[in-house]
Amino acid sequence: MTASRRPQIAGLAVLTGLVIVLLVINLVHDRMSDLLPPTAGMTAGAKLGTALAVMLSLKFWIPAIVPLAFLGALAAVGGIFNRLQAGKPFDDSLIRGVKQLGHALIVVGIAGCIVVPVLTAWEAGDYGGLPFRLATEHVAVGLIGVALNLVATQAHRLRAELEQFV
Amino acid sequence: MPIRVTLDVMLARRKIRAKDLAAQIGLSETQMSLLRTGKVKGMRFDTLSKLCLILECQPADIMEYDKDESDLSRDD
Repeated sequence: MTASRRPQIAGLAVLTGLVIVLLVINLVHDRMSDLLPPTAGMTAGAKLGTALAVMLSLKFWIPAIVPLAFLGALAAVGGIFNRLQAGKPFDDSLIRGVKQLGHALIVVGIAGCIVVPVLTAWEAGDYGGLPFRLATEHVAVGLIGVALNLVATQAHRLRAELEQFV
Repeated sequence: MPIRVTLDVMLARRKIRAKDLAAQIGLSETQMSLLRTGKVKGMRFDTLSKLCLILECQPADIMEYDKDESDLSRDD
């Protein structure tokens, strides 16, 4: 990584951090709206009891699965930018970062296509079959994750070969 | 490997220890040992330049090629 690119990479690292913060705020806000519905006339104890009951239900966590998986992917992106910004060479830690990003995107794809539809069906009391939902965006993200994983594996091989040059 | 590294000969001529040469050109002793025994896939030009500078020689003085017709069909 050339030194001239570092300010741009630093900007991207900051932007990634900002996106992570916004995603967390949005996720918390979204979940809180389910947790604390308008309940006029309820005592504080009753509100707390209701909130705990909602939090312990599967229905509460299902919409958070895909955003949480995206948070994992963004954390991996942040790690890659930080390593590049630090001027580290194309080393094993960078390859690991790309691999982690690939894994995180695969998790997003699997969560969106399989986990969320299945849990939603179970939550609704439908235990028959596996209700996949092959949404284009989740399939695409999952495939990008697979591609990144394969690239990282090839990069690891290339790195090992380069080490045989003195 | 058709390319043979003959570094040991030049080291003996110049009366330089491999350990000292490794330190001067910034290679680890392990890398130097691998290089001397021909157990590396290749050598970077900057490493070659440093070797030639310190040993006061030309690249051909520290490596030789054994003709092998199968080299043209070799993939790696």
